[in-house]
Amino acid sequence: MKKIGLIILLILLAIGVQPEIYGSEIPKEKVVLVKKFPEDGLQTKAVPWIDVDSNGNIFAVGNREHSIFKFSPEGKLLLTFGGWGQGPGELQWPAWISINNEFNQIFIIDNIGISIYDSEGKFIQKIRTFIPPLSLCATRNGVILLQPTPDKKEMINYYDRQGRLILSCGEKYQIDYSLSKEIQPGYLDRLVNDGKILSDGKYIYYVSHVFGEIKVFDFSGKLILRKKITGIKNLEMVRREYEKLFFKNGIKKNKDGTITTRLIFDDSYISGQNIYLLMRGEVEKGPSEILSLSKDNLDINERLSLPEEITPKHLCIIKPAGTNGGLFLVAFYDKVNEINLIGIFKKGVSK
Amino acid sequence: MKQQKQKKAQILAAISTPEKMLIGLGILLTIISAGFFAYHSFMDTCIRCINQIIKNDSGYYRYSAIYLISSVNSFCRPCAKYDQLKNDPDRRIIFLLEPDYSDADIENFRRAFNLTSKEDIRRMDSDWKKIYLKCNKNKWNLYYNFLIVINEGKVDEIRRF
Repeated sequence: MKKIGLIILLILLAIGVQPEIYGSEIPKEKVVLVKKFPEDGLQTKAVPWIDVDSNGNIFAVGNREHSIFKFSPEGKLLLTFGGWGQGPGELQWPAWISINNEFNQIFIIDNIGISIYDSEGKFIQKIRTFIPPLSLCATRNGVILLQPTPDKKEMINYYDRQGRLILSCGEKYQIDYSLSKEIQPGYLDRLVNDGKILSDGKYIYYVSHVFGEIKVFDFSGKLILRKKITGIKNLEMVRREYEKLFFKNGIKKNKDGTITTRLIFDDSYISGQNIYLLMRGEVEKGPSEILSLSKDNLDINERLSLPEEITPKHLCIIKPAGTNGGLFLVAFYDKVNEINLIGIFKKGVSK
Repeated sequence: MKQQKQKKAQILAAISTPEKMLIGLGILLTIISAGFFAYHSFMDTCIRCINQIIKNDSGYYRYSAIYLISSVNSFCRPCAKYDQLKNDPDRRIIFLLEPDYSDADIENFRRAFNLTSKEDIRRMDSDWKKIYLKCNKNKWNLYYNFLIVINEGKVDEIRRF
């Protein structure tokens, strides 16, 4: 019996089926909730997109409320601005937020374009690009948008403060639209290229939330580095599954006409020397995790497990991880109390 | 109060079920036709205003398609017949955008929809803005876009999208 087993193993090895060894998976650490707010839950019907300005004020986007909520670093509601409409400063279904910390200017994506406000909620200007972005990143000189469309190869567009396009780069994932006949090419492009644009002022980072891959560009649009995130067995398995689905088998609509989004990450953020990724709980069939990657070599240097009783959706960093540990700001759905909240988490034991 | 209620009950009891159904149907039909006529008189006003403005420059608008654009994104490209209309070499296609569109917005609009220099793209002047507001009147405060097809100098079709 042992001999047969050995022969089978030898045959398998000979034809190239080699067992994958993941002995060096980075151990997980836990993060604990330090504080959550508001006490009675957010006024938002959906978990809000969040960002933090240089003074520590927290901005949360109420998509269905068409408004932005500003909280003090202590979690006190200071201001609400926006409101339904198409006039100056009004919003329709706002989503992603990005704050330029140099000028403390708040950039918001809504159905009409990009609205820019100061940190007191005063409207500054609107940029219309007519291609709904998947993500935005405010920079010193303008805004970088992730805008995949079927008729263009590049999906990263950099606009100056006046809304003029100054750079297009980043080839999108090319898929055979005929494999997924039930879905419009435009929508398919958005599904397969879903991700986030980040920047540290020196480079532009595209994080694919579908395939767990990061591409790094300089500000001339040149691809500097491209790397698939490795070191987590299940993440690599899910990636292979999604690659097979998008590039080989094709996507189909569900019976009720909906389309399931395939994501490994829900959000990502750049701070200090690291890129932080909010990994979905489904990947490891456990609680969601924050992965910390070195932005130089894109290797995972830390895995932080979030509490099981929350469904986190959006992430930003108040204090980058270091020797003293980081402070993470997470917008989440509290499964126990059935409310949306913002929480501050840190590594270690709860008080 | 009680007496009134009793009176009501007596009247209702005196009407048979088929009669009640007929009355209900009558009310429903009245509401629908009132809505229909209100919409058409409103659209007539909208068309009358457009006809007036195109009369002032009949040569320019004679055989054209005017898009009054408040906000639109590339997902709406198949909307409102653009792909069909652009293949008509004789038709002038005019995009009138909200007055607060910046030059960069207009350039982005041209690029997003792959428009050529053949199409006229400009901001609405005050007359067109007035027409837009008149045609767009709705109780939900929604800002629609409109396609106005003009044949032989007259409005042939108005489509809201």
